[in-house]
Amino acid sequence: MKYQLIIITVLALFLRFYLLDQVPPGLNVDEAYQGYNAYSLIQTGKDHFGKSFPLYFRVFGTFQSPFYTYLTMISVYLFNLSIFSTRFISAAAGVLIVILTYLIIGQIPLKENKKLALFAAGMMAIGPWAIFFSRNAIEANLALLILLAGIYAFVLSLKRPKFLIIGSAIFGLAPYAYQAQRLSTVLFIFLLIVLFRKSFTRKIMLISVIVLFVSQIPQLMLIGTAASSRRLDQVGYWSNLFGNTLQNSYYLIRKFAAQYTAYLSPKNLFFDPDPQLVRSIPDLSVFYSFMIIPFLLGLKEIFKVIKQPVIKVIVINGLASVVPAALTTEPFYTMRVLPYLWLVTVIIAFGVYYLFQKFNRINKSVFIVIILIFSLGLFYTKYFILLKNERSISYGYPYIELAKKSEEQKDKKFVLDSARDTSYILLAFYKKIDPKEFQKLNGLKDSSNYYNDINLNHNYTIGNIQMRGIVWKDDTYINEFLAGDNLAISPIDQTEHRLTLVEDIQGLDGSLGIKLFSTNPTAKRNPARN
Amino acid sequence: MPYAVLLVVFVLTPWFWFILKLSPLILILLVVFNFLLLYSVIASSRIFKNITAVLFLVLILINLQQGFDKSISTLSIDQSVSQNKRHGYYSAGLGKLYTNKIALFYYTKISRPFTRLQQNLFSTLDLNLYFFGSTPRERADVSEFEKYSFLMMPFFLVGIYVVLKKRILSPGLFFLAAILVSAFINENYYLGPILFFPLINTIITLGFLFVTRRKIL
Repeated sequence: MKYQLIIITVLALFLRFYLLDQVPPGLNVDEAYQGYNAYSLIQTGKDHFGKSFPLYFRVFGTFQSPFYTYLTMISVYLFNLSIFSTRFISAAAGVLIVILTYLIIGQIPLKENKKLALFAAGMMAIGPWAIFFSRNAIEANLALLILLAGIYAFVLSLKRPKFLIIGSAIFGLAPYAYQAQRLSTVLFIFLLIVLFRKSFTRKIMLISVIVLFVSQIPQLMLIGTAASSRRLDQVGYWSNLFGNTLQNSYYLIRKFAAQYTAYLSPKNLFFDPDPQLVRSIPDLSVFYSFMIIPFLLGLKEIFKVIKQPVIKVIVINGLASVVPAALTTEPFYTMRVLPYLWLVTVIIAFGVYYLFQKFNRINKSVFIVIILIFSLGLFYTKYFILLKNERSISYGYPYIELAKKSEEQKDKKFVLDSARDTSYILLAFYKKIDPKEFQKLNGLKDSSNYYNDINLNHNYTIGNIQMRGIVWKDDTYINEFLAGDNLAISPIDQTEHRLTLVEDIQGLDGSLGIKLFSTNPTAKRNPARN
Repeated sequence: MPYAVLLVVFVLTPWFWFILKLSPLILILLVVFNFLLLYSVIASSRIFKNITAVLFLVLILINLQQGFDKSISTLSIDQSVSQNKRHGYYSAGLGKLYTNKIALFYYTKISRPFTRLQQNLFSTLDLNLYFFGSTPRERADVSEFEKYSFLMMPFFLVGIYVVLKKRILSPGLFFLAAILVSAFINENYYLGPILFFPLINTIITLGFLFVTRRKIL
């Protein structure tokens, strides 16, 4: 078994770290915040706005959970600020999740539980969602690791109750890892207490609850601030409807039911990808479509053992994790429900194992080889080829090029139109701007209001790049570069202001990214000569 | 009692009134099939099961005749552009693995129809399609409409549990057949995936009977 687990772990390692700095091609804005904040903390002990070791990180109009950023300090310290170091923690978490899956499923008291556990670990290693989210610097993947570690401790505590205290401490970390965990972890723990209250002595229960409560004190201190509620206000549909009419109550219940059901839909799980481009792979949903067959068989198999405590725990965890996602407006927001996707993966593993048992020795090997070739072949074509080419704009690829250009022309000023652009952090990241300089030019004037200040700043100075609206009457009379998309700088603007196109910085698929122009003050001042 | 429940399900179902308005003849066939299906489930009669199967076959033929997806093997202009672009990515990324006759044949001739069949098939495997008018993921080119009240969904889920627990085979087999046929039906068919209409009604009825502790089998 150890030998097979090592092979699965190596496969998981490969799928998570192979070309990690190149695919996805660039960073999304949230990833860049993680990396640059970690870099800023290492260099100055403050985040990029100038706040010392914050509990939640203020980002563009909202707040990020802190755990990922603080852990990223280690990888940024070791490997310097880069796409690789920013994604390292998530990729490593993805590998550890595979091992934890083996350990948790191995605790189900079934005849061949270790084999089943290997299948579960294997499915996690090759699952499209599991690889995809491990290759993005997102808090949710780390939160899943913490949650699974807590579940493992809890499962062990059913035999050795003292593990419950360790489990509580681990569960206590989850809300600091990802915003959605603040609600689902509470719900999950409440359900665990209700179901398993008779499995523990009062003393153990009391100590565990105290440990859990103490771990929540820091975030409880922020209740009432924007850091605590801003994200819920932004994504929830229910906050302004509470306490109103019966019609509103009906609407709320229907809306919640529709959102929740969307996560159970085979269409969404096996065919339609997440609608957000940075959270999905082209033409590939969270699972391969053929997995619907083992999923249905797995459901049948898991129902046979539904009364097993381990199964109860993982099913409750999965279903509870959908609740916060169903309370938000976005449809099928996969990143918020990773514990649920983990549960579906385990169900699929039950189904695959069921099929596996039906074959003789030779066919068993053929069966595994076919699943591997089919899954990895599909993943390679959709992820390493299609996503790389078709999603480069979503991952801010043109900013890598713009940062390079601005470094090549260090003595020149660049103005990047910021009317629709929130990507200052990408430029700060790629240009590796000294955090001290960034804080001085762009930091908060008054950091005492850090957890409440949600006003957006649209003007930033990032080295020789100024992000702001273009002031045509001034900027075109200075020798500088102007950059923006087609709406910011139209062909009419180009003619009227005598701009020269220096480069059309495109995505890898040739789609429009950023246009870079040089001004021509002489021609602008003397239009008659041209 | 079960037939009265089924009748109530009909009356409370927006889909029933929708089909009635647009195609009363098909509705009559669906209703007759539905009663036969429920009878064959409860009475376990072999003859009625056969009659039910024949009627289901008739419904399949009508559905295929009216709603067959003619776009299975054709490409829109956008899809054609995208296919050409991807051809370039695959050539560069996969080399000989892609630029051989078999792979190219698969990509140009098989891949598109296969994806379209899957799209049609999976579009019917969606609880939101039936109970929430496809909210929150409404489809761009499909005119969505409310089929069942979402309040009926719990009975549907209980009904599935009953079918699985009591191993009631016939709705399961009809479901499987309906899923396979749906791969060839355009997801924008004006009456919706009608083959599922009697099956869902039956399952809701079974769920209701189970919840209200009525004897089913």
